[in-house]
Amino acid sequence: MVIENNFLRYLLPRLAYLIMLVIVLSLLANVFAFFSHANYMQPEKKVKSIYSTSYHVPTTVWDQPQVANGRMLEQFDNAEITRAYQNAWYFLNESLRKKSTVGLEDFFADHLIEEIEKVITKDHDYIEDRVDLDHNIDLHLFSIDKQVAAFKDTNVRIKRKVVNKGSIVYEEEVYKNYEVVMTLADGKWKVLHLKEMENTIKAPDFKNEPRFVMDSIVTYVQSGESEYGKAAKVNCKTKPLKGYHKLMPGETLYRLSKKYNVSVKQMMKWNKIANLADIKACSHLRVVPQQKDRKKIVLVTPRVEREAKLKIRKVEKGESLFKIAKEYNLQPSVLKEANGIEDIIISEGQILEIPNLLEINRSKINKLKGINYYPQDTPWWDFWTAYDSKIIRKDLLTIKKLGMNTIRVFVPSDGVIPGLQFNTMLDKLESLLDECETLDLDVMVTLFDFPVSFDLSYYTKSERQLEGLLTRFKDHPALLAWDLKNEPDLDFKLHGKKKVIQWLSYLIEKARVYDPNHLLTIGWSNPESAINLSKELDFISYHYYREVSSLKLDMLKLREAVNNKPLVLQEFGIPSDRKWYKPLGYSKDDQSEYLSEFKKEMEANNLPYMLWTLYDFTDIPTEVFGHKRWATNKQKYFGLIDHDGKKKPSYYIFSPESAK
Amino acid sequence: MKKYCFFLMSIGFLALTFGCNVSTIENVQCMSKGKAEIKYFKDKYKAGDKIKIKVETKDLDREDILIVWDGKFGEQYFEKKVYSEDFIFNFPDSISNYSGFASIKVVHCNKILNRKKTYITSLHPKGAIESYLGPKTLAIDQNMESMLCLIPTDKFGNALEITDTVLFNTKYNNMAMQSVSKGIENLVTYIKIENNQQVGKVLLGAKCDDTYIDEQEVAIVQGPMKKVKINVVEMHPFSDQRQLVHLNTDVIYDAKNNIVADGTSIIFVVYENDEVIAQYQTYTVSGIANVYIENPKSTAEWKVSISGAPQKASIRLNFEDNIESIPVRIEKNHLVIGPVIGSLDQYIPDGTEVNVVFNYSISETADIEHGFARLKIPVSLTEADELICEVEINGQKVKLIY
Repeated sequence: MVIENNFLRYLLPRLAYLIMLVIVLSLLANVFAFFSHANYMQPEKKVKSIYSTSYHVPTTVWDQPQVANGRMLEQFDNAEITRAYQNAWYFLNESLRKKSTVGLEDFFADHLIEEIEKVITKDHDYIEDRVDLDHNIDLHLFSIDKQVAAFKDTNVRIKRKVVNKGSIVYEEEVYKNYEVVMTLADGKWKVLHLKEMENTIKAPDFKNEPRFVMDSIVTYVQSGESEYGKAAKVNCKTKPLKGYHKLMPGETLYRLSKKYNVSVKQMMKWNKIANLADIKACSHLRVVPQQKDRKKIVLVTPRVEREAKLKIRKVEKGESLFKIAKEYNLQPSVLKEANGIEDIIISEGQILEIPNLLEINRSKINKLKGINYYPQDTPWWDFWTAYDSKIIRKDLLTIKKLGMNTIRVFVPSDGVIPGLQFNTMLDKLESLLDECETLDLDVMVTLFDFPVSFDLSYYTKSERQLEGLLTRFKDHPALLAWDLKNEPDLDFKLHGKKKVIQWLSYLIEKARVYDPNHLLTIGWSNPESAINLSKELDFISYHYYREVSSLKLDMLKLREAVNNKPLVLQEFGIPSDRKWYKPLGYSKDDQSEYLSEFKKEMEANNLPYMLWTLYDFTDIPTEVFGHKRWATNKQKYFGLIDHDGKKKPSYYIFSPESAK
Repeated sequence: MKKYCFFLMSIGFLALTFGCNVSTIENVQCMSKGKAEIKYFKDKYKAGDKIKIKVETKDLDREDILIVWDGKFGEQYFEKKVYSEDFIFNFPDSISNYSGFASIKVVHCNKILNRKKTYITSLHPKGAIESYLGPKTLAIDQNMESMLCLIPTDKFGNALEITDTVLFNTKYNNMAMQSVSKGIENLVTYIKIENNQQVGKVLLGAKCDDTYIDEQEVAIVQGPMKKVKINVVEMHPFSDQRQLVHLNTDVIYDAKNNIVADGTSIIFVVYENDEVIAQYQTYTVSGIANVYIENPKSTAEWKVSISGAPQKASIRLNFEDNIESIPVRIEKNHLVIGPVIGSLDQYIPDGTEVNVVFNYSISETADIEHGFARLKIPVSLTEADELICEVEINGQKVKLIY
């Protein structure tokens, strides 16, 4: 067929070219996605604006007077008024956020709704996004006929963000006092009057502060212009000059930093070291600045406070080690170790030292050898819904045989997994912790797994989940630490870094209140992100899916950046996913070799670790990793045990049997 | 053509790299070096006052700043372009209508440059005082109280200040009016009304400056009965169910000697051999309750008391046998019982059951009708040598040997 039309002759080749271009770009995109990070979650879908008071559950504490004006506030009325008052705040916040008075009529008297309308109907684009986090209610009057309640609400903690056309204009946190009158009308408690009063009470200090004391180290900074920055001389024969140190083989900058009380970063600057790998033995390194340019400062670093008092306990007649360990929620092995008891026999009158749970957990971190755990047939999405204690026990025994002492499990946010009741899941978590206790395994629990909202409106709901979990398990002997969120840095792109960090900060603050016994961490997806919130956390966890060769340097950099806080390599591994259609993938032997080198490097650098993961998986949930097979497929092959239950060569890297 | 293709590819690649970025709310990229100070902002205003402030600025020329009013229900925003170092800003008139603490801020480039606080006091009360009264009825001697809660407001609907007072007037029955002045606390003020010794009502009034509440009242009603006595008004002391026992109570009083309210429920409970056999509910009129109880069908000894009476008030009633005699004879294979005569020399009631046992083995039953009952003698016994008939009516027995 001859194309005679000039226009078509011109158009068709170009159309064909465009189609080809789209196909090529699409392929490139998929290749890019395929090689992107292993654990990248599906971005959160934007939820259509809805009203749900169940998301708003701020901490509300009633100070019930012994003799109330009127009558005593009974439990039922208390609950009714509290819920109505919280809902009033919820709809007020929503009305400011959405510039709508929907829902206010059920919780505010008409004249107050008119007032609120005046606030929200201004002709501008500013939106006040806020949440009330804490209420401290002091009841003044509850009328005899239960129709009127008057109270003071003090130190109402409000977090607020003012947004204009998508940009934050400013943010602040304020504490306010209110006087409130509520009345029961048509069976509903409504706010009749609300007046802001002066807040003369100082905003409460964060309750996490007493957990920390300040460690100080003396260090030096460069004052003004100076001659610093000369490259180090290398000479093995001469003695170092005053203020210099000759680096001997095996010595590291880190060790020098400890010896001379200066930071690695400073030494690198003084000696013009761009890369730690470039330092040579016999380098004469400046370790103290010249006197004339020296400016001495004290670096203050927070660290977890040690309990001053040592608890001791006298053994009574007929008491066993197990009974006493149970009394203090300790594993018997911990009590044995702390008291240097060889067997389990203790005698009447013997004095036992009861170790502090927080200190125990701290000391455990340095000896941590663990694994991220999901059962083979029910990973991620299905772990809690298809929880089978027999399978779990079998797997835990396998982990124990591998010489591991810790597992990491993931607890999803409430409501993420359809049909999974939060409290039922907590029962299962308790069963898991109990099982681990019997096997002397520790558990690191990762919270808020799978995408969550970081909006202010989600804060109180998050806090209630945190409270439910932490208060329930804070005394469990098998619990090692709370990992507040898995790879939150991957949410930076979608939600904004500041928003995610603020949400995490709030959780840290609250977690300190609900569980003072356990360490807190966050599982960052890479060492660079792990600097975030490092001051607030007890130890730093990060994931590492890179080359072994860069592990040490990245670790040193991180250690330096986080003021030598304990580090935990919380995830690492490679998939043995070589197939005929994927010749560039790793074989099982490659995986074994990689993990072997990795293990050596970690042990050489005293880096506690948790491997990803025990099993190869058959089904990867699309809810977590999306529908692109090429992007999710490699998630199936990170395990030490393959789909058929056979141990891969990498299994023997960690198995103590292989060491023999 | 090659250039064109390269251009398209470049665009596509750029779109792929940057086009998929999701926009997030982040801080505006703006650093404020300016300064601002709020002047002429008083510590206190009255509701409805015009509020104007002077803002002194530095290094903010031609910059857009934001003036924020932070009130109890949220913030109101006012944009302002700075044209001179000092300027006057007038807030809208309505901004000060609502009492309580408020603050203002001057914001520039994500930075709060200055912040000031003020307190807006409510005005004199105006309009009706919001009042909540309850319970509206109190019973004597029940430790009951009522409460009148008031929330006086000004013309903008603001609850008054802690410095304001309310004068309460109360007047019990036949007693002098009592006045008490009470301050406002937590936006409300209240008085309690206790139950008095006398039945009647308490009148309530309240005044705050020139505003008043509509007169309110609390009814004080009689408390529960304290002393009860049961009297027999009329009684036929025989077990004759056609008769009624008429009982009543003395006048019933509460603890403070008030006659209990008309319609107070009184329950008469009838016991026989310490078992409840009947209950009769009735109501008082002028403190007296009446009840009519059917006589028993057979001899009985009753105890009647009043349920819930604080002191066990009870009387005993005895009902004697109502049957004077039971004549029995045999007529043509039939046993004829009667005439059965009662205590007043009349036939006992129709339907009274008669039980007969023939020769200790065969039982028959019949009802009395017009004083007589008639039973056929069983065929098997008509030829017997001896016929023994035991007849029983309302527990009274006679024996016939024939």
